[in-house]
Amino acid sequence: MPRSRPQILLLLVLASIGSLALGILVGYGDLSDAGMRSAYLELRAYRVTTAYFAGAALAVGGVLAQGLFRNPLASPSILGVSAGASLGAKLALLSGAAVVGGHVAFSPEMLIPLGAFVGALIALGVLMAITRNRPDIIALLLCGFLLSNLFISVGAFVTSLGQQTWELGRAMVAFMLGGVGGAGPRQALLIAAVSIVGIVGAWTWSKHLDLLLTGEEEAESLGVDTKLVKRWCVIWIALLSGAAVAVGGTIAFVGLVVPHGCRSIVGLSNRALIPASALAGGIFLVLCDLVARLVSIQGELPLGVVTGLIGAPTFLYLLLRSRYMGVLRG
Amino acid sequence: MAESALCVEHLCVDLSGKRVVDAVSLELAYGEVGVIAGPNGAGKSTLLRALLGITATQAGRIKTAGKDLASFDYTQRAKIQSYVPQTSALNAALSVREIVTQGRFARGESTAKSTAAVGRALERIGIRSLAERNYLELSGGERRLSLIARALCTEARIIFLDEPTSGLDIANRLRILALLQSLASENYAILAVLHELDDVMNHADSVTLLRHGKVAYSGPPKDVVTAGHVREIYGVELAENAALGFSLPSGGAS
Repeated sequence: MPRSRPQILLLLVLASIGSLALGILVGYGDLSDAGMRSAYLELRAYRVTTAYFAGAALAVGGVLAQGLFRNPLASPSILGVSAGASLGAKLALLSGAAVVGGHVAFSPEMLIPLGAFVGALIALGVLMAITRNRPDIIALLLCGFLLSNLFISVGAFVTSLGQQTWELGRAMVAFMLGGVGGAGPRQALLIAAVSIVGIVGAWTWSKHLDLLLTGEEEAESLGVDTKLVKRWCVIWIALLSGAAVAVGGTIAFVGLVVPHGCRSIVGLSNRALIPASALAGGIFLVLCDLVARLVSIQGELPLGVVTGLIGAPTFLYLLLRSRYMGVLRG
Repeated sequence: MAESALCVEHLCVDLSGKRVVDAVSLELAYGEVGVIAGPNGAGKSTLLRALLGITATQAGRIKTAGKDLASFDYTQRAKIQSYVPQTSALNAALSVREIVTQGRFARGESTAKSTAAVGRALERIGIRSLAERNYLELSGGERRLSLIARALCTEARIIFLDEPTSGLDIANRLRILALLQSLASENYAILAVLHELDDVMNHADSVTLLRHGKVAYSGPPKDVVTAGHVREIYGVELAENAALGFSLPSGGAS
């Protein structure tokens, strides 16, 4: 039965509350143990909060990238910002290890977010500098692709350097696989604050993004300052995906699958799509993290693997049945 | 004398270092259907984009509604002049109503507030029955009408159209041309890029004929579209009374 957009958003809010509660109450660790209950609940609350806001940030980053590039297959990673953030985090880990003479005697808790932020910002700066006089989407897309591959290649080299120290190599691999298992209050607060600012900021450009569906020329003739919209959207994408990478490592498919699913429910208007994707992205990642915790193969299943296993076939299914984006019909 | 909608003086536009529009001057008044014509590559579409403020100009002046075009920001410009592209770059399944509502963006209204204006535009163009249809599933003629409705919905009094009749069958072509004349009679200023010289003769009030980016001839169609000029510009002979004549039945514009 079709529902109105406010009803769908309300349902997503309720589902968000339900998923957060489920994420906190379910998992390994006996809650009937009075001595450990508060510790379990506290740790799970940080983890679930981090997963929720990272999912929201990744999903909205996807909506923005798809709107900006007018391509439903776009994702924040095509800007090179995710790869830049990932490289920044690895370099931070490596430099932290180098400072203490090859021993991992640092807390990666804050080094990774800091490195990821710096990496995302540098990637964004390089991207904007290269495309300053080439404001068209294709140039931006190609530069993003180029930068992404460059950062991935350098990142692989940095990972190989990290393998010389067992702990460092393990930390880098864990980061690459993605996960929110080690999230504490700092990560939860960081991703919550950045996500809320980024999502609200992105939402203020939703009408402009709607008009970009018609192409830059038409959007400009209708009153949209497309250069300004692109600049701000790139900033929001970098902020959201950089923060998500900082606290969760490489988590694939959220920015692709969630917006696609939401489009088929709330339609193409970004005014509804951005909040719907934020809520659904949060729910999606909390549930994926729950699966990662409960399916135990030599410890927890990496979150990036869970999102990949769920996300890839879901995305393929949505792609094949899609009727809502004309471009997919070729 | 009719009020001036557009005054272009010695406009120059370069693309990739090459002069594409060279010292073009033209005028358009409210209530007039003006046409830019010329062979392929003459600079017609580039000129239109420059008049819209989308393409940067190297020299010259564009006065729109009595003021320098450069003095307007994007939203101010969209309230004064609107644009109907040859084909929309839209690749998403929006309804005709949603497309027409885009015309209200510069007004900064909520969707609810713009409902009346959207309804008026759909009614005026005669496509109310298409309102909930998916734009991507419309015929070429219906798409063109939807884009004209969006332009009308902006409430801008100057409308630029890039080849509004290209690719349309004869009935749709005449329908669109009759609509443009009808809008001009309501004091809109219409400036269209057209290829068919018989359409220019039958439906335009003035024509600017471009060649290699320069104005070759301009004025009333009967003075511009002559056998000598056509031979000189296009390299073809104008055959007197050779074309079949078509007209819409009464009330056919809708």
